[in-house]
Amino acid sequence: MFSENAKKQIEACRFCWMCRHVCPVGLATGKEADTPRGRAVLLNYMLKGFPIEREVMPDMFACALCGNCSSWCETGFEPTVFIREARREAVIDETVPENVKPIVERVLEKGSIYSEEKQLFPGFKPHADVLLVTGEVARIKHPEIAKALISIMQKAGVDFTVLENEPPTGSTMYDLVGPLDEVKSVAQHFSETVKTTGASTLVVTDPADASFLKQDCATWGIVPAERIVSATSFVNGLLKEGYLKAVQSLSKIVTFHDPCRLARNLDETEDARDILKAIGSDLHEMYLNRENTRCCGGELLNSYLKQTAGLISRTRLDDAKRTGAEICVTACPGCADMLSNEGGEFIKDIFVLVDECC
Amino acid sequence: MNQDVSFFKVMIESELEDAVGRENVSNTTADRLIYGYDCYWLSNHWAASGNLPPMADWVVSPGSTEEVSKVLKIANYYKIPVTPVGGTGGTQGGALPVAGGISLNMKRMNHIVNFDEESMCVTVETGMIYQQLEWYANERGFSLMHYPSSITTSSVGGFLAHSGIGVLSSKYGRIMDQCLNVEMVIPSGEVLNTAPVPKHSSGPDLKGLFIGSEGTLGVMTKATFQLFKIPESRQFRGFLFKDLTSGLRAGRDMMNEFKPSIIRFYDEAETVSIIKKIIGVAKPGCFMNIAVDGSKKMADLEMERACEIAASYGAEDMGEEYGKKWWDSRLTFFYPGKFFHYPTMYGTMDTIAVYSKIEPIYWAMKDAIESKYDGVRFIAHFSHWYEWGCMMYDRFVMDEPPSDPIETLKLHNDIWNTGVRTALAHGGVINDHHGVGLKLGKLMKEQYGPSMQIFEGLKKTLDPNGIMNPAKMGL
Repeated sequence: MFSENAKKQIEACRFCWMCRHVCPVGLATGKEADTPRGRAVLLNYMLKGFPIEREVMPDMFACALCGNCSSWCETGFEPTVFIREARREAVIDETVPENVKPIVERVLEKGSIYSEEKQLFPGFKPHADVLLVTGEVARIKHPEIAKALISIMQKAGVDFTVLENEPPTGSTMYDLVGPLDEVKSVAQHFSETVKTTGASTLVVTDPADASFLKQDCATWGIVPAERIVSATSFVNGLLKEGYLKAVQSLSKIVTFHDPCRLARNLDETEDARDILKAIGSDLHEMYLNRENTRCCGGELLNSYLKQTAGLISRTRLDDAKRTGAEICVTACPGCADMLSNEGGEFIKDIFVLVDECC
Repeated sequence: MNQDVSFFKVMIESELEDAVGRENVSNTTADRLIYGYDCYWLSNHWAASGNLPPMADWVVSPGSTEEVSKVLKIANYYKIPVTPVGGTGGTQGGALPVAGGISLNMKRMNHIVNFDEESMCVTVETGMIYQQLEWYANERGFSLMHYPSSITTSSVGGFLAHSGIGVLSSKYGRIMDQCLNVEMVIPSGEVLNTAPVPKHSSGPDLKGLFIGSEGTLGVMTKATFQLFKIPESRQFRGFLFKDLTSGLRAGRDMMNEFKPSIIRFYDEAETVSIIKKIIGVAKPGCFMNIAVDGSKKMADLEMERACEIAASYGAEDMGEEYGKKWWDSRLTFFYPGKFFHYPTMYGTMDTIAVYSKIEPIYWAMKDAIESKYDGVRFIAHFSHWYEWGCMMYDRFVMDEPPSDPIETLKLHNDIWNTGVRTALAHGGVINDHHGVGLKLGKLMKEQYGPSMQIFEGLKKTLDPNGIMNPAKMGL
């Protein structure tokens, strides 16, 4: 059953075309069904009783949930609301598309979309004021990002700890299957695990985790800590307050890819830029930056729609290369993973650079 | 045994897949449903009433001119209707697949072909969403200066197909003026090209036959547009005229001396709410919002003259604030919550005429609509100007149409017939820049009379089997 809020979004979006130009999937595939309006139209007909649920679900899962549509809407409507709820319906009604099924089964069983083993971080103290939440993507795909942040915290003298085996927050699961009760259970388990550390502040590496914990979990009454901050804002704070100092300059022309959840959901665009300035970068902006940032392809989308995600990544990579930058910096393990698939060494994570320079 | 599957249909589908790739041909209900409605009010009304929209048999998405050619050859051989479609932002039902067949989705053809900075022009595939093209140009310091409200919605081909216009047209021209050349594929599969540049003496202008043909002659696949340097200065000013006549004359005089980039002149009904936003109280009159573009020097001079001209017609200077705010939020009106919300019925019956006729057309249409139809109001502004005349962007609005959907459809069409016929009777045209489509096709002969045979002859020659966008434009 769709919520009244989702129905309201569907009714608004079905007759509106104003955000189609920012939908990365629609632009990549050229399919009308891969646009916010297209999806709203299909759900509208589904709600009116047309027996098309199985046909429409591939289009519901072919969305990167980058939020550009919701951010662009000048009257506050959010297609991402009905897309997530449609995914939930697919799980309940067993109409999940074949290519997505293995990922859904894995996430319902393990709480994670990944089958690989994640990096463990043993040896940290059980309690501290600050808990560094590394996130799944960093642990599994880019442990160097987690290690860089650990090093930064140590250099800055922060009283922090890291969970040896950090459970998933539930953010990727929420994106994949929508507001299922199982998502809340995963988030609750994460919250309870975090609370065993006694941390009053969570420093969250992955912006998707940060926005999920700060915003979605809060609406469900799940509050793992008093203060939840993105790693970019925390590290910028360390630099501004003098706990961290750059001892060598990066001295490179860089461009910055704003992660969508950081720029649009958390409204944080300047911390990363301040950090890049502090470590001696010459920043050349991409034309579409900050809240207008383009999707990197999406780690989740890539797990079951590689070709589409790849097309989206390549578009963003082209944006970055046109700036003439020597490297493209990003502040999200997911973006780093997606963009480096094609971009290789052209892509650098901001925390790895900060650790090198400080 | 599957009794729903037609052998011949599957054979044709297999040929289409061979032409464009299997993944680019769809026969699913979901994909076909989506192309069943666009921004045409009646199509929204039909869908909102829970009715099945007109649906094609296939959605076919070609990725190149060659693939378009292959698809049209197949369709022409089997006499299958083809309806080209871009962003589905049309308001005239022009891209609705009323005869079934193929919805030819052009949006995979979304690449820049050539960016010629030296010549200040860009060649692009017609499936690109126009805002993407504009951003591409902006990144390089240029603009196409084509800003219709559907810029984020519609494709290059869509704007060409119905010969569209943007808010800056008074200075920078319509899309017809901004387009240098067009490539079009016709049902035989042949690829036609207009002359490489528009201003020549090499026979009649083919570009003028293709642009505005709304997919009834073939499929436009590429086009070249001029680029403009982004101006150093854009200045806004508002004026309150005592009546329509003085404002129309002032606008005419401005256009004949220099060309403001924007002139938007509102009738009394529309002025009421605007003036209240500016000065906090209602004040009678007709409001005009103008902008001038150029180097700072030129813009200063033009604005000085604009103020002098407006003053000579007794207008009150209302300052620059409204114009700036309007520019920044000009698209907000079109978002849900701001725009007319279904079931409110509305239609934009835009027309254009010479200056001596445009005001009489306004009064005649206003009277014809408001006197004949209870609960329907008529509002208008004048927003695209030339040395010889201007267009009127008029709307009828009915907040509470009949509850019966078929009664509503018939009333909608009756209002349109009344409004447009009134415009025609007083020297206007059936439409200024939204196109003809399904909505106004029946009125084409009333406008053109025996000249209609030119379009009919062209249609017969280029599309002898009548497969291209049937039932549109009266062809």
